[in-house]
Amino acid sequence: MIKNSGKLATLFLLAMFALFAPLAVVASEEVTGEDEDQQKADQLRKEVEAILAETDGQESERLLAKRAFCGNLVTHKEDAGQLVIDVRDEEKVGQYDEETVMVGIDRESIKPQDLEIGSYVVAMGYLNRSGPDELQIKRLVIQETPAPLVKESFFGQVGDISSEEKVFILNQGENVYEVLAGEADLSYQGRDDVAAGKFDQLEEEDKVVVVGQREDGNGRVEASKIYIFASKTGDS
Amino acid sequence: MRKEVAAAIFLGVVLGLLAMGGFWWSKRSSQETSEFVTPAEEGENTPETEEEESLSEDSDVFLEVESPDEGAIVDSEEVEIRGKTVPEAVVVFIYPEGETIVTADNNGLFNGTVVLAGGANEIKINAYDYQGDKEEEILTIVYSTAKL
Repeated sequence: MIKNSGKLATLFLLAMFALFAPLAVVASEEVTGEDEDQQKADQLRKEVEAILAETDGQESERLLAKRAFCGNLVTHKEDAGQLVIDVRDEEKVGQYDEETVMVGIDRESIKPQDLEIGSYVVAMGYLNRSGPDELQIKRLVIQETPAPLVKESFFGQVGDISSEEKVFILNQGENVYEVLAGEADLSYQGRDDVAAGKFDQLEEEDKVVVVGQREDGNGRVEASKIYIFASKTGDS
Repeated sequence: MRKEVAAAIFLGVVLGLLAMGGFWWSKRSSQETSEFVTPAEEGENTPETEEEESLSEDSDVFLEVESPDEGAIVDSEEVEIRGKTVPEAVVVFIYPEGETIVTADNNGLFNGTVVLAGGANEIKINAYDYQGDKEEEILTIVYSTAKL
């Protein structure tokens, strides 16, 4: 009985050894494999980071756009080096630093404390296409507020024409204008391009675009350019 | 006794191999599963189809300035403005130094040259179609030779 128990115990121990020995080997190999994978991943990560660092400068340059904000200065936070400029009723933010060149209205060099709220400024610098809509100002110039564009364009149909005075009536819907065309350049669509024409080519019912300055208080327009869009006779 | 020991060793080796084989097989099959992407998962990564731009035949006049951008800084006195509008529209540029009239081609593409003054230049761009419908854009371009 004791002899048989000894045999069984030996058998059991051998079976257990044979069973678990390979598992232990597999487990140790797996740990080694995971380490190798981790090392490869780390190496790959380092290589990618190196490439990204190398191209980072080029990418930043590509993302920067040379831009200008032109308008009246709304606010100036000197401690933060920040300006808010009213660009056609839209407030735009610009940042300046000690390297920013500032030029006054008489082309003299000025300092940030010389900036006055309400001044018309041309802030030139770089805008990050992928970042916030904030200009990194490199050069800031103060100038006189540009005069508004006084000339307008008018589309209409030609009415009465006075060839002697070089004046004609322009009907634009309900609006009627008297166009003074003495100093105006006249043009029409030629075969390939816009061609120069003469006042005599203008005919009643022609559709025209007139560029000129409206006189105050009346329907007169001092024309500087007239373009015959479509002619009644089909010449133009 | 020898027979029993040999049988035990054989049995142990067989059981061990079976266990190792089973473990290896299960691990491999799990890896293979993770390499496949189901169509549903694939669909999640498919970029959305862009809506096709369609222009109505009876659309009103429009005006798109393609270049230069608003607030662009140029270092030459003349700049060419390019854009798109309705075919054969008349495009008028009004700027501090003068005005220019051009016509769009059959595809609605236009370009015209404007003369700039030093500093900020506001340019008014008007496009007219044959019926006189108008579209307007204002563009500010800065003419400066200063190095930034």
